[in-house]
Amino acid sequence: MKALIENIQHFSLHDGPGTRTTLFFKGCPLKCVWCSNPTTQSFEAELLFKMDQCLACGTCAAKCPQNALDFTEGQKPTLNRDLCKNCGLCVSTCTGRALVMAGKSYTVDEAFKIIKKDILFYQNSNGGVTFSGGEMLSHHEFVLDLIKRCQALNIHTAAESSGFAPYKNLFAVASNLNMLFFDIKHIDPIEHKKITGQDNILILDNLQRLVKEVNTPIHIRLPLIPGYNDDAEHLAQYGTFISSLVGIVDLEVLPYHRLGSTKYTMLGKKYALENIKPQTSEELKTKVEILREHAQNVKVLCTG
Amino acid sequence: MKLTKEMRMDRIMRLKNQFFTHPPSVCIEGAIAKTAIFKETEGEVMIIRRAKAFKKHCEAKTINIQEGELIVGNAGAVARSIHVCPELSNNWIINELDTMSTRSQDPYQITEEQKKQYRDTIYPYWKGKTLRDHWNATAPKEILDIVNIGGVIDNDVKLECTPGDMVPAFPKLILPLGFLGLKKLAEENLENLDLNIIENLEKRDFWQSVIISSEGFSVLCERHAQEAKKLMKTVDKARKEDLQRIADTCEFIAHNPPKTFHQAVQMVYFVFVGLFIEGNAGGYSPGLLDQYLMPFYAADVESGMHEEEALEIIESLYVKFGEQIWYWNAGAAKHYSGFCAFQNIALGGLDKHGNDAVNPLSYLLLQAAIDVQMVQPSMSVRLSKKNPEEFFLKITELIQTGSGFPAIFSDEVGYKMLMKKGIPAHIAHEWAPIGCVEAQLAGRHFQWSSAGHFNLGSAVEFAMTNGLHLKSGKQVGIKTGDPATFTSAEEFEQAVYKQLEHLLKKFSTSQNILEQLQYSHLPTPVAAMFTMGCIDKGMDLSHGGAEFNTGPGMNGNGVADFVDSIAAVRHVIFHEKSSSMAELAKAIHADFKGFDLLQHKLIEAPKWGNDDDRADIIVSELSEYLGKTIGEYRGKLNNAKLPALYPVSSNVPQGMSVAALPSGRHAFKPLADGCSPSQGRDIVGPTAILQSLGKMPHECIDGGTLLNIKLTPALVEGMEGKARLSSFLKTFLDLNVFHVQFNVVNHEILRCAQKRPEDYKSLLVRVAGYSAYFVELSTDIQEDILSRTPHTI
Repeated sequence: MKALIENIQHFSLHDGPGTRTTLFFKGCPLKCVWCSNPTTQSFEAELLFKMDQCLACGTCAAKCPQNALDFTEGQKPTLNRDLCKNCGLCVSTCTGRALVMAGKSYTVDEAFKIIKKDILFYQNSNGGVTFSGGEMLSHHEFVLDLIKRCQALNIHTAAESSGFAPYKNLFAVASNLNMLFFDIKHIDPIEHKKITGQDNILILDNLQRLVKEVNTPIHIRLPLIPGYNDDAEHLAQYGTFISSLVGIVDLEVLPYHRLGSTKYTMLGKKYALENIKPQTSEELKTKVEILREHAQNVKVLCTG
Repeated sequence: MKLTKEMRMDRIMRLKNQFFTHPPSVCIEGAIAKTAIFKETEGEVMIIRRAKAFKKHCEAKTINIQEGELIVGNAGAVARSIHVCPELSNNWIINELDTMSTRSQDPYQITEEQKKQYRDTIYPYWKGKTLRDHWNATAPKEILDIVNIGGVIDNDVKLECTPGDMVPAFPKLILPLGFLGLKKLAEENLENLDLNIIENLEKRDFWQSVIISSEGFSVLCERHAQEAKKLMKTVDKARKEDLQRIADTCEFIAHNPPKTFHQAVQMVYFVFVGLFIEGNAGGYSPGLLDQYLMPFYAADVESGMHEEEALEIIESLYVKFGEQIWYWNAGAAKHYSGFCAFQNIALGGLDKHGNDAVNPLSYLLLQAAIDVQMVQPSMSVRLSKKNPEEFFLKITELIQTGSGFPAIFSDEVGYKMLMKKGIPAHIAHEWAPIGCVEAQLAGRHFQWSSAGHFNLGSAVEFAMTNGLHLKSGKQVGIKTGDPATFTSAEEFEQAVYKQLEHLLKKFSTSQNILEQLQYSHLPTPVAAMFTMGCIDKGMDLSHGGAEFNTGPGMNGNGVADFVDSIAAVRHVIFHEKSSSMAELAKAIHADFKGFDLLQHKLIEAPKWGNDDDRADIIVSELSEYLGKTIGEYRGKLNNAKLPALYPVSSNVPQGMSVAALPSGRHAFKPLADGCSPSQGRDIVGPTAILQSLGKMPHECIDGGTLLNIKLTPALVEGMEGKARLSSFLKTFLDLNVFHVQFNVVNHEILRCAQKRPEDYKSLLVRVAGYSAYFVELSTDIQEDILSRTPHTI
C-alpha cells in the first residue's frame, strides 16, 4: 500500500499537544477558495516552480520530454502547464532548486520509519503524530495502518479532517485516534458548496453520528474567512449548531492568513482571495464573541 | 528601607547604561609597572619577577569605583580597558598602535600619550623577550611555513596569552582561607625547608611567589576600601551607605576569609581581577557558583538578607564580569570576536551522591542573567533529568530572552568526559564547563582546553588539490595524488585522512613547542595558587602542580564541511556516478563557476544534521579517527591530547583560508560552527539536528563539542514555548548530546541592527560557544550568523 504525501513536518507545533510530526497527505475532495495548502489539493504529484529562485540557466528546458518549458537565453523559462505531465525529470537538473515536486509516494513502512525517528521527542513532550492534508481520509486504509502501528508503540495520534468521506471510513479512523480536529467551514449547504465545491450534508451528518458513536475527543475548527463565512448571522447559526452537539471538546477559530498565497504562484494558479485582508484583532474579537454567545455549551478558542 | 525590585532594577539599569558609555580602551599601567619591576629584578627567577610585577600593579594601579557599584575593581585603570601584558603582546601592539582604535573587529581606544609611552619605554624593553620572539627563534621552518599561511593551523591563543582555561578553587581553598590564608600556607611550607634537596629550590621560589601574590591581593582589597572611604565625603546619604558597605567588605577580605554573601562575591570577583592582571587570557571561569556561594547565602538569609538584596549583589557582579576584556591582535580578534572573556558560570547538575544539586541560588543566578542580559558572564547549566521541572522552566525563561544563554550541558556526558580523562568517579561530579564547552574538574585541574585550531576543511581541500593551498598557491599539504585518478570513494577518503594526519601532526608539534615555551618563560603564580595541588607540591601549573593534568585539547573546525564533502563524493561521484573526480577537481579550482549543475547535485547529496545515516556515519568515522590519533599524541606533562570540536568564532577566518569544497560550499565562506550542521543545510529541523548529534560519541571528544540551534521567537514564546523547550531539552539529554545553545532571534531584527547599530547596542546573539553584542561583530560574522537556518514552522 502506498500513499502520496506532500510533506512530513518534524517539530510541528500545531494540531495536537507536544512536539509532533505532521503528515500532509495529497488529495482533497474539497476545493476551498482560501485553501492555504493548495499543493495538497491534487491527488497527483505536481511540479512547483519557485520563480524567484530560478537562475535562468535553461537546463530544465533541454531536459523536458514534453517541451513544456520554454527557454530564451538570459530569461527565466516559462512553464506550460497544459503540456507538463508532472514527470519531475526537470527537477534533478534545476541548479537553483526552483523546480521541485510536491508529493512523494511512501509505503506504510517508510512513513512509519520516519514517524518513529522522533519518538523520544513525543515521549518527553506528550506529543505524537498528526495526519493532515489534503484530506487524510482519502488514504484511510494507509492512515489506519499507521495508527495501529503507533498504538503498538504508545505514540499519540491526532488527525485533521474535513469530514467529507464515507462514514465507515471516518468512523474506522476516528475511533482509533487519540484526538480529532473536524473542520466545519459553513453551516449552509448552498454557501458551503459555493466556497468549497461540495455541499455539507455528508459532513454534518457524519459529525452528528460520530459524536454519538466514538469516544475520541473531537475539536471543531472554523477557518474564519472575511466575507465568506464571518458574517454575524452565519456565526450565530454556527454557534447554535455546535452547541447542539454533545461531547465536543471545543471550537477553535482559525483566523484567516495569507501564508499559502505564494504556493498558488508556484503551482501556476491564481489566488482567488488576492484582495482580502486578514481581520484585525478587534474584528476577530467581535466575531468570536458572537460565537461564544451562541455556542454556550462549548469552549471557543481563538489564537490570533 | 527594604530594597524593592524597582530599586534593584534601577541600580542595575544605571550600571548597565554606564557600562555602555565605556568603549573598550587600552590601559598600560600594568605594562609600565611590569617593565619597571623587570628592570629592577634582572637576574632573579622568572616566577618571582612575575609575582613582584603583579604586586606592583596592585600597589600602583588606578583604583576606580564607579557610580552605583556594589562590587568593585578592574584589572585595568577603568572599566572595559584592556590590561596590556607586553611579555605576550609586544610584537603586535607596536605594529597596531595606530590602527587598533579603528579596526573592524573589536577596536580599542588609545591615546597619543599612551602610544608614545609604549613606543618609548615599554616596547624597547620587551623586544626579543616575548613568547612570540622565542617562538620565531625556535619553531622549525616547516611549522612556521604552515602556521604563517593562516587559517590551516592557528595557535595564537597560547602564544599570546597565559593559559587561562581554569576554575579557581573557591570552595576548598580560596573562600575558606582568604588571601592571607593562602599566604600562610606558603609560609608554612617554607619553614624548615631543606635546601640541600635540589628540587626544593624551585619549590622555595614558587612559595615565595605565592606570598608576594597574596600580598598583592590584600593590598588591592585595602586600596579599594580606602578609595571607597575617600569617595564617601562627596556623595549623598544613600550612596554613602553603599560606599561604607564597599569599604567594610574590601577591608575585611583584605585580611580574612569572607563571612557574608557580599564579601564572598567581592572576593570571587577580585580573584578574577587578579587573574586578568597576571595574564591576558580567556576562560577564567567562576564554575559552580551556586554550589560554593550557597553556604554564604543561606547564612545571610538566616540572619535576615532578602532575596532582592542577594540579587542586587549578583547582578552587580555580572556587570563587572562584562568589564573584563580578553584582548587580541586584529587577526586573532576574528577568531575570538566580541570582547568576550569566556567566564563561564555553571549551575545545577548533580551532587556527589548523584542527587539533584539545584538550590535556591541556582534560580537567583538564572534570574540575574534574565535581568541583566550582558555579554558576560557566560551562563551555563549542567542539566540532568533529575533536576526539577522548575529548573528546566527557569532555563527556558532565560532562553526566551534571546541572549543565547544559558549554554545547556548534559551533566552525565560531562561527568563521563572527566572519567575518560582519568578523573576518579567519586569526584568527577565536580566538573564544570569552562570557556566555551570544555569540561574540567573545577579548581583542581590544569588543561589547555583551547590551544588553537586545525582546519578539517583544509584536509578535504588538500585531498582535492594534491596538497596545494589554493588561496596562497603554496604546497601546504602532502602529495596524496591527482584526485582525477581516484577510482573509489575509499581512495578519496584515504587521501583526506592522510592530509588530516599531516595537519594534526604539525598542529601537535606546534602545541608542543608552545607548551615548552610557556614552561620555560611564563610561570603563572596567581593561577597556580588558586589551583589545588600547586601549593602542596610547591609547583607551578605548567610544571604539573595541579592535582590533575590533562590535554592540551586539539580543536578542529569544519566538522559538517568535512562530513558533507565526503558524503557528496560518495553519493554523487561513486554512487549516482553523475560526475567524475576529474570534473569535481576542476569545479573546485573554479569555485563552481561554470559548474552550477554539479554544485547543485553536491548540495542535494546527504548532509550532516538531517538524521540521515548516509552522512551521519561519516561523523562516527571521523570521531573515531580523531579520538585514536589525537589520543596517541603526548604533551609536555605526558598527557594524552584531547580531541575537541568547537570553533569560538574561528570557523569564519579559517573558512577564509579554504577553497571550494565537495560539499558545495563556495571558497572562503565560513565553515560550519562546531558540530552544528552547515549553514542552511539542516532542512529537516531541530529534532533531526539533535538526532544526528546524538550519533556522535560526545564523551570521547573530551575536549568539548558544540551545537548551536537558531530558533525564531514564535517557537519559544509563552508558556507553550517553555514547555516545548523543556521537553526538547529532555530529549537532548536522552540522546547524550553534550552541549546545545539557542539563538532566538529573527532575521528582521538582525537586519535592522545592521542598518541602525546605534539602536541595537545591547542585542546579544550567540556566536558559537558564547554570546556577543551583534553590532560589535564584523560584517562577515554578522552575515554568518544570518546564514544559519532559522527554524520556524
